[in-house]
Amino acid sequence: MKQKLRLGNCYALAKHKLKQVAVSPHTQPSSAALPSVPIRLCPAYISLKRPASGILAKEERLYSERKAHTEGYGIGQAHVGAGQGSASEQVLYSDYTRIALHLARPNGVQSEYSSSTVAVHTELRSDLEEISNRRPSRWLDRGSAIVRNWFAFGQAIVWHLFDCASAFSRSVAEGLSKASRTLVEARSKDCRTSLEQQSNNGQRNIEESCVCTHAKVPAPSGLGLALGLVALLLVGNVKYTAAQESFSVRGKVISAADGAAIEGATVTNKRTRIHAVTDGAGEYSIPARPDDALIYSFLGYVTIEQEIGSRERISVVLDVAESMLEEVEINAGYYRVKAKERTGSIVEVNGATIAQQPVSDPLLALTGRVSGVKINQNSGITGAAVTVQIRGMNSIDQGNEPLYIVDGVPFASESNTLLGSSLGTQGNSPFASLNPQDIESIVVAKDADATAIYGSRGANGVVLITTKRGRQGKTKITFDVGAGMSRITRFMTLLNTQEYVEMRKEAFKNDGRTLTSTTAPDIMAWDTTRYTDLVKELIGGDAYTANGMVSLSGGSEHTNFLISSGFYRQTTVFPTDMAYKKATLSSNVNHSSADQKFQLLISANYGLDYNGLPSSDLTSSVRLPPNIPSLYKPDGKLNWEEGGYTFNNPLGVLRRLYKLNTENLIGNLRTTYSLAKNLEVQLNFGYSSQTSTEIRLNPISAYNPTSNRKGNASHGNNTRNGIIIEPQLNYSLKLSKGTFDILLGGAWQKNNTSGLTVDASGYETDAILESIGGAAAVTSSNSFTQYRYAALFGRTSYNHRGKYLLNFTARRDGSSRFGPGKRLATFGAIGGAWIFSRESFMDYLPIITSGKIRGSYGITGSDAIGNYQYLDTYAFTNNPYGGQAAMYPTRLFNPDFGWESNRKFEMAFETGLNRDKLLFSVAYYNNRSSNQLVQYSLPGQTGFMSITRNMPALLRNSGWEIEADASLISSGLFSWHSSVNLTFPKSTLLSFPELKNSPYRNRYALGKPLNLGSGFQLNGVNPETGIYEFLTAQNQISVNPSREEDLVIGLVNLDPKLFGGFHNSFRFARFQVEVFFEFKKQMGHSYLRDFTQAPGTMFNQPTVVLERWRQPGSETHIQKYTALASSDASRVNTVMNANGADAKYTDASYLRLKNVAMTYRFSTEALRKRGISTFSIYLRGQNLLTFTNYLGNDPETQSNLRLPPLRTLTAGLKLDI
Amino acid sequence: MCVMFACFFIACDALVVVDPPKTELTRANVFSSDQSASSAVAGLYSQLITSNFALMSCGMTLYPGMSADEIYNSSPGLNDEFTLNSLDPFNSTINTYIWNPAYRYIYQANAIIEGLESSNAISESVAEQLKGEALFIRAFCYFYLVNLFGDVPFIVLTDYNISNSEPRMDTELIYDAILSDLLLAERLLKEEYPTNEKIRVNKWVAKAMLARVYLYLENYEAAIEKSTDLIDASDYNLLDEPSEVFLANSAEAIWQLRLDGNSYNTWEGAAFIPQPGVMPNFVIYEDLIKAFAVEDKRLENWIDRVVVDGQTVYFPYKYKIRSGGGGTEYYTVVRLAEQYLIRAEAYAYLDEINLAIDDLDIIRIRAGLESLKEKMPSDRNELLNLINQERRLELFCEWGHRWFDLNRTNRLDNVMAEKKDDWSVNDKLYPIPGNQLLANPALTQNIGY
Repeated sequence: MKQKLRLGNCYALAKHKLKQVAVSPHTQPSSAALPSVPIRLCPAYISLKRPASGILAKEERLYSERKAHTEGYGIGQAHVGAGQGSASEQVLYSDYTRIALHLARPNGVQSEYSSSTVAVHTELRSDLEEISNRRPSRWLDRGSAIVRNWFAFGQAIVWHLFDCASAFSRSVAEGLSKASRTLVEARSKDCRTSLEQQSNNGQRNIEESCVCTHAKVPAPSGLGLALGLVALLLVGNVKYTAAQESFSVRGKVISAADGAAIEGATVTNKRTRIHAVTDGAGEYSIPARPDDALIYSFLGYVTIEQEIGSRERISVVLDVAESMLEEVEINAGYYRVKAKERTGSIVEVNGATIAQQPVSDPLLALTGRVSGVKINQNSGITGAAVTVQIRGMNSIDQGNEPLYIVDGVPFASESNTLLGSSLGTQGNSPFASLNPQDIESIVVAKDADATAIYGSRGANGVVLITTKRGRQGKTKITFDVGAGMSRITRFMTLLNTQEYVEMRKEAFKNDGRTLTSTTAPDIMAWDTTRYTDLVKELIGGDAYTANGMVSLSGGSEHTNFLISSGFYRQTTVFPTDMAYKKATLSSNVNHSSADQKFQLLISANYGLDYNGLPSSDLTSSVRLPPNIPSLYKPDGKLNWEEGGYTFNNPLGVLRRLYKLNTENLIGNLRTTYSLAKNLEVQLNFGYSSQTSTEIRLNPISAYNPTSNRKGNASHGNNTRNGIIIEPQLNYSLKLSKGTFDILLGGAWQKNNTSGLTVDASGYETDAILESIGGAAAVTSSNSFTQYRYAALFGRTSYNHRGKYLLNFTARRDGSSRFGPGKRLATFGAIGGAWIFSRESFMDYLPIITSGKIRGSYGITGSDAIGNYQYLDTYAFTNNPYGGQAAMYPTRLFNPDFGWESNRKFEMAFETGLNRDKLLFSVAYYNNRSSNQLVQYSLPGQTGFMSITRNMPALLRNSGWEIEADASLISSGLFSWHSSVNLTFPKSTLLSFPELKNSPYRNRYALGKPLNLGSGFQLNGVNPETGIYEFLTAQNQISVNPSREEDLVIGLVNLDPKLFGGFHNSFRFARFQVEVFFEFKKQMGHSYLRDFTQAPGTMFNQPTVVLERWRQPGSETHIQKYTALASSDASRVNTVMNANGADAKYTDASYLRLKNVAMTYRFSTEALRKRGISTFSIYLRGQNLLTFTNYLGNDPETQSNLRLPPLRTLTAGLKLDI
Repeated sequence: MCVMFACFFIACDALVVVDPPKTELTRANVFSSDQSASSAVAGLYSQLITSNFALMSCGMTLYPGMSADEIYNSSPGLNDEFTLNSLDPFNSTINTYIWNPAYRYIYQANAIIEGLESSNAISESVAEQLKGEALFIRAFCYFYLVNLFGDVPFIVLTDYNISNSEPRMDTELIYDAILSDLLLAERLLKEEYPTNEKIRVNKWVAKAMLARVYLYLENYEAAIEKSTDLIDASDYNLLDEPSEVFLANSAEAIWQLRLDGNSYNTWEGAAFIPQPGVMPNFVIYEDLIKAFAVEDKRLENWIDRVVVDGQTVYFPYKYKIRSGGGGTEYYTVVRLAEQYLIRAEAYAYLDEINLAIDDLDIIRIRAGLESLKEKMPSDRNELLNLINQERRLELFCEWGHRWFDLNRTNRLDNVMAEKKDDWSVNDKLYPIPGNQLLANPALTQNIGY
């Protein structure tokens, strides 16, 4: 037999930074050329073996020990046995080594260690174990106090890192010398020669046993280089015994899904059962013979087998497994469910998808990604609230927001600001203080089966946000830095000065009036040749973004941790240098006991964001005349007048600052203990706190000095905190043909909100504006509310042979938002699935690899109303009267309202073809919400505008959701993955008792959706008079339609008819491109929604008004200009503004190139030598292109008063160390 | 966990019981002490004056002033509809600044009355005072509602199940109720103000209002009786200087509202006084300016002018502080001068010409005009014209007097047809806000809208 020592093995491993180091000091006693010498090892890379044969010479042991002590490494010592055969012993000193072993444990190395020193032995092959005169390890005699103490572990980790760093510096000195490498090479040559001479030696499988003993210890890769060099030195000193023609096969394992290296994939030699695990770069090395076969496997991927043959390097691409869905579990909140076996509608968006979008609010990253979920950005201003609707509006006028759970803690999604601001009427989004990069996944639960376990709060769907966790593996540091630029997406073109002046003059002519400087200062007193592009001037700037993130993660089998910190800064498109800043810190640790019975998870997410903005959105000011006087005076101060006529300088707004600081903390502690094999008890404790501190400043300098205004300031402070305690019991019962999983749990939640606002006014000087004490008058008010919530819930699921699944969920809930006697209610759901692809008859249809029919029905509820609505209370005004505290009644009194209920039905069909390369699913849902909780409008004569009450209106939200996912091309070099989701929603008001006599009769119509656009039907412009005319109910033409009779309720349906997303992912080698389109087919509000002034008045208009009526006989769609409020044209304009008209609605469908993310991964040996496992550069764009015929600024915001969404481009780099 | 489960079943309700809101009081708590019940009444006054340009905070001067021939808005907008007497039922001003606030105050008054009636914890004298105040304010609100809108729903309960569908009630019936409320208030209220300022209602305020209502109802004897009470009361005197009439707690003031915690002094100052060099928002018609004699001190003291664009425009200047000012002026609701004019008019109708002239002269002389004794009017109509003329000048831009006077004396059509284009007899009443008709199908619209 040809004997060959693969010295290259060791050498290559050294080069590959020794993620798993084959450091196998063996002796070849007969080789005098290579005397056995002690070898130093770094603790993390110790390969250990009890002397299998032979006895070490005492002198050698002593020598080694002495060496260890004198050199003071305290890191370990290796003996090279002098005896016959392959034998080694490793004696390890000190804590550091113990940690190394602790880290090594998960990788299958058996170790035993004592408190001060450690001896390790591994399983030896039986033929070696036969040797009877094994010397008992004297180190074991000292007793084994296994380190379990987690705190000691934490301390040790720090020491360990410190140690690694010192080892690194040592190795640089030692290892880089060319001389030593030469020596290594020379010696290895000798070594090979000597091994070849030993070709007929009876030793076999030595190398196998060596490999078996490799402790695969995770360690910072920065250390790898050092260890490589140590190993090089070591190689030179080792005598090898090669028993057979065995060599080391190297290679890389790549995912077909994204072309990324797979870390942690297992490569197994089929014959020897030796296995290796890939490192962070996907590289592996395993001993094998040419006739061996290697098996490559990784969770979620297709396992493949490769014959080795003559290859020394085998790189493989693993396809995503057809069985992936079976393997992948989705977090469904209180339980996890295998994707393939779920009975409910649960969709997961992974962290990578979220992270690749340059948005600061993670909710925005969901836009178009999940079928059935409609997400609307209300304003382009960073930090503004986002509207999320899952499967339509369920409630007529109460909350339609889903329930959000972040790491097990309910998250208050509504704005926590108290003062009005440029963020719009909906305020801020508390989600902005989460870092999208920290998110592991967002799961959206839509149907009854998935949401009934949330009972009363699940009516509008549930969004579960999970942050990233530490992973078992080497300690990894990730850096990600980026920078970008944003601009508004689109804006209507407005009239230029020439057109504007013409409009004004024509309007006066139409009205039969003469222009005077009182009635038209813009024409008569101001320069009519000057042109200022206010869109460009006020909102046309570039916003710059800078973001950075660093995270540190790692862990062992029992304990994993992750710490991540991010920073984000974005300036505005307004002409100011104010900015949005955000800093986040996310950390979590999970730990399990050695017997895996006890598990602990602690996580904390902290976000701090600061939003510096003008106090109102400058977008509304672009409607000012385009010949507006110069905004600045020559001396740099704001200009307020020209020709004796003042104007409202829009830049005054920039001096009126709005500063919002929010702090957000979410902490979660989850402990699980296995009482028995299939009985587990869990306790979840969550804490959340949201604090907002606002200041709005109106300095004197922001106003026209002639107004004699004094400065004023408002301060707001709002704190929300909540506690949730959820004990839970999980029991699983395995029967011969099926499995029962039973979950029982309880929840108790308490939330407090307290707010304080202080209005300080009468400041004589701007310098002290932020000092409340300096105000001439101060008024303040505060608020405090408490919310409590308790529930009992249970879920039983039965899985019969993996084919038939049945779930029952029930929850009994109580909420403090209802009056006594109305607080408790019961909710529940039933869900089932039939996985028909597992039936034997499906064997005849091998093309269908998976198939399932599932359905669910259940009831969920909603308590989305304010607190204390059932109480008859008085509150204090902040305007005392005559020195006496003043109180006013807060609301009408109704103690009798109860839960709003939502009955959800869903049927779905899911299938996968061709080894699940093509996945397709279609779902139909039909949700009926009744017992509507409404703020029922009341006539003003009752003293109030509305009352909270239930109304027996029935609303149906139904629709189809279609998702398809295809791996079109998947090879090592190039892959193309494409997916699409479509939602066809339909909302119908089924019944509404007494609608005709109710205050809602002009808002809603039976058989139509809630989101209606109503108004008069326009009959165009009368060619003779040039004024709009309407069609009455009797199809007569009228300029004076009656609101009671002629108003059409539901001219248009403002709900989208179709929305969805189209995603394509391309990979060519290390270059990856993600292209994502979002689209909506819908009707929306046209520009007329906000351009309410009649064209001709002192407001600029979009260029579309140029098509107005000019002289009798002209046929056009825009009526004549007018500037006189009493003119017929103005009156008609007022009628339209008050009641709506079909012209006010327009097609707002759009297709938007929502996201493009390009990434190139560098993965070279040079980088890896420097400890960088992945280095990638990326270019990302958001809202890049919008295709639409929309008549207005942006079809998503549909507003001319609020900033359109921003188009953003960022570039950055990411580094994994 | 078992403990928790057990707790849940035993006391599930208890787990979700919350503390009452710390910043609010339940109704029962409010009416459990003199102090807090009094705060509820203070809250009613605070609401009256705090909401800007609503019914009781300048609105009654502003909107009827534009509807009549007193002022017009200088910049176009929703107010055009008032100036042009072409109100759209969906004009948001009538809904949100007039109708809804009026009924909100009425609800508050009703809630106070109910709260006081259901409580035993409040001392009798305080309860009487507070109830008197609430009754007065309710009547006061209805007085303005019927004069603006004609028949309106009459609500005296807080239960929305009843009040939400109430149809309009005849004006006469509402006047009956106003009278009975005011008479009860007069009985319950004390002669002293509840505080040391004239900012809350006392017996005299109720009497003053009774005098006005009796005049409107043409019950002249009763009007004379009530106004005489006030004129004879030692607490109230006409001031020699018109410029001092609207100062805080002036001797002439019978009831004033004090605006606290605001950068403006009064809403009228804020509405009428323009920023320097700027067109006033509301301009007095030339016609009214010309109605003043040159020597009339009121022209000098209560009207100011500004030259804009080479053109002199006039604006109301009864209140002289636009903002700041530290509360030297209070918003005067009822003052003594009106009582002289009420009595003069009542005497006139009763053909007590001399007595009427005496009262009229008191007002005229204070204004620096000559006595009418020299040229006595020849008949009742001439006298009434003089009284109307004096009311127009004395009470211009004050709580809608001009609009109401023209209306109640049936002169509106003649006067307005002369002065305004497109005057319609239906413009006498404001439309019931369109939103109210939508919210309460039992309501009907005024003719012409």
